[in-house]
Amino acid sequence: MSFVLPGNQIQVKSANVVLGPNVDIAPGSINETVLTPTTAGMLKVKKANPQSSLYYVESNTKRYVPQINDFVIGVLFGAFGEYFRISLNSFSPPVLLNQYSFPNASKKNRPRLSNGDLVYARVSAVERNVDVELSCIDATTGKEGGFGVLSDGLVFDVKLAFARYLLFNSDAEIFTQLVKRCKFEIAIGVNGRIWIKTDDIKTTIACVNVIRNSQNWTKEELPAKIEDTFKVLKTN
Amino acid sequence: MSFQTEIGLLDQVDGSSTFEFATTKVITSVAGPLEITRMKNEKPTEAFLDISIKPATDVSSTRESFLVTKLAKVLQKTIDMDKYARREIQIMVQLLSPGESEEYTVKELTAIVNSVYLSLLNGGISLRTSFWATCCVIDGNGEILMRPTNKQLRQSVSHHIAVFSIKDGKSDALIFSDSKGSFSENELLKVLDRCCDDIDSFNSKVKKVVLDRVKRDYIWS
Amino acid sequence: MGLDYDISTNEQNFVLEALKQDVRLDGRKLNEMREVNIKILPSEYGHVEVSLGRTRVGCKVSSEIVKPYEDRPFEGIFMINSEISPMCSPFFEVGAGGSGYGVGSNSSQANEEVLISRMIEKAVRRSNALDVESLCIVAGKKCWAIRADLQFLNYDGNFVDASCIAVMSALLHFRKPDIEVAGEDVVVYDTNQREPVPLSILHIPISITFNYFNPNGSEENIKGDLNNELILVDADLLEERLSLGSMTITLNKNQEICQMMKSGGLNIDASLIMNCCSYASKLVDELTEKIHNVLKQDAAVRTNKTEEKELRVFNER
Repeated sequence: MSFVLPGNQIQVKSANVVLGPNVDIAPGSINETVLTPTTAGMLKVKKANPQSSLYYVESNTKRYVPQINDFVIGVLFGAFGEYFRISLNSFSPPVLLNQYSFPNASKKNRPRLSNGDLVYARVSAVERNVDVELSCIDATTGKEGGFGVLSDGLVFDVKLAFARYLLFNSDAEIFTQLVKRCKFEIAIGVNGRIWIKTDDIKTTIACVNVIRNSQNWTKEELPAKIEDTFKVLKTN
Repeated sequence: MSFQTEIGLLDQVDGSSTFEFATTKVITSVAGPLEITRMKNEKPTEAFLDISIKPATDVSSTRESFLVTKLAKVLQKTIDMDKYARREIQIMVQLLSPGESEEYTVKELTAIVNSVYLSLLNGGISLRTSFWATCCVIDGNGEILMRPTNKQLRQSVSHHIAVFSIKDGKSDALIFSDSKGSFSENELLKVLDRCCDDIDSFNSKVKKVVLDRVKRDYIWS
Repeated sequence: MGLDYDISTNEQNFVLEALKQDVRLDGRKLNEMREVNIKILPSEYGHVEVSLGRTRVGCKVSSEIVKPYEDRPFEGIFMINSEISPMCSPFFEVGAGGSGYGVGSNSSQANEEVLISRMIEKAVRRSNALDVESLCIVAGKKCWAIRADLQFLNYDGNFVDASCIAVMSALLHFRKPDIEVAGEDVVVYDTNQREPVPLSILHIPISITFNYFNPNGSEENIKGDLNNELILVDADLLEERLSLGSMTITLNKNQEICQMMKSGGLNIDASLIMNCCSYASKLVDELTEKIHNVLKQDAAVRTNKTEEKELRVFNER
């Protein structure tokens, strides 16, 4: 793992390379053995499969660019034909959700959604020059799989790398700390949106503030800061 | 003489930075890829760059439009435009302290280019290459002075700005250069050489400030 | 048409429920303002940056000598430029509102921008906070033109209050070069030759914005027989987007109302407006005090520097 900037030349040893996020083939390199990062961040190399390795640059940004099979939280803001229009980040290009991309949906049994509803979904199609499409059906089982409308609770934004970290590390320190204090339901979208629901308003606010602010806390100061946040809200 | 910068200081846009050198200070922001706000701006195969520069005092005039065209020339070559077909990338510049008389634009353009570069990295916009700008003057004695003060600028015979791409921490190809005043071909070549060296001298600091920011982005891990 | 923020029904309901319990998402009570931070940039006179929570507004004051308007020969010129650039948020469009004139675009954002700049205009310029007659140099020939350029850096609600504080602190801090008039000739002294002089500020208008929510949901209360509206001060972005109306009151510390604006939205009982006014007056006193303190601290730092310089000159002799 090393820090790279655009323009750095990454010499690739193996012939089979999978280009991950933020990595491109260096201009002028014809036989595809030199890569270059497209943004600043930490270069990581992983085995994608026995023959090839995956190169990507880890960087923490705010605006989400859809990738296939990502779990996302979107806001519904319109419908046309058999599609719903969903926004994944404010001011980003909208994506589509087919009304039939819900489990057991049919012409007679359409999902009832209205503007402003929150949807937890999976990115099902990303093609150049075509709108991105979401789906609320689990690809492996064909069932609901936790996708669908998120009702009540509160949604808030975090940076993308932090959302990825929380989604893939359910044993993260922050969760073990929060679990000790309250009962909550959570959905994490890698588009930097987190939905949380607890039994009462004040606890929800405390959880939101803890998760959002913990982006600026080190692991060491986390327990004390969580303690502080909860204390302030209890006294109010 | 060096520079000061603060990266990622605004939270409504995707990337932002301030940049200050030799009493010239600017703040820039980057947002994108966004949905196109006006259909007529949509380009079917590449990104639309929405660049706007605001002066420290007064409203934007032809002077700022002039800077916008120059900045666009640099960015069209460095941003991976094909990756953002039919999208918009907003680049906003607010001059805070010009640090030069109204008839000059070199110092401001240098600060703008460098600040936009840092903002683009902060916003995660795909770049084809790193780049950096520097400026200099040739004074009455034919001497080249890098990153001049306003006084040196006013007494100069010609002034120059050069933007180089950076490959593996070394300045590589000339992306943009602009000169004004009277100078010989030889002098220009010498100026470009000096600019090249000057940019190299910045590399370790640029790398450090960007790395610091990246580390801060991952403070929780 | 510009794009709007994504705001889900979940957020809308949650904010309302929380307000009913007198809590806001950042932990404030309904009548609490966010922390105000006034930073004076050390390099020059009249350049300040004000932050209200995460809302950030800069203001830079500059002066030049121009010919006065034909119909007002005894007055100087005072202008406020409040163009909002998308730097503070992609929500705003480039050049949509201009300086108070709705040119080009008809989107709601443009309207919002026009509203903000008109409000600042009314609060500061129309209330004669700056004595324009004192800016006259030679009647009908020469006068000072003072301009205040606002720089909207980050949007998190309540631009009006933040910009009002920014403009007033910048004007109070600004010094124009000293001049001497002999007949029709004017000698302008460099700031190194003579101490520059402050502007003549007659009073300090401060705006306080209140936002309204209807506890019974978003349906408008037309009859007006209910007046249990939720009133909150200094709304942040989400609250500002969701509220059903706002009212801005501009006051000075003499409890004079300079301006009051409530354009549409919920019906509010007159007695509630009176309550808002008296509460605003309390906040205005605190903010005025704060501005004076910041200016005093800055003045102390600056005189130290000039004294040092003078002493050094003295020593060299």
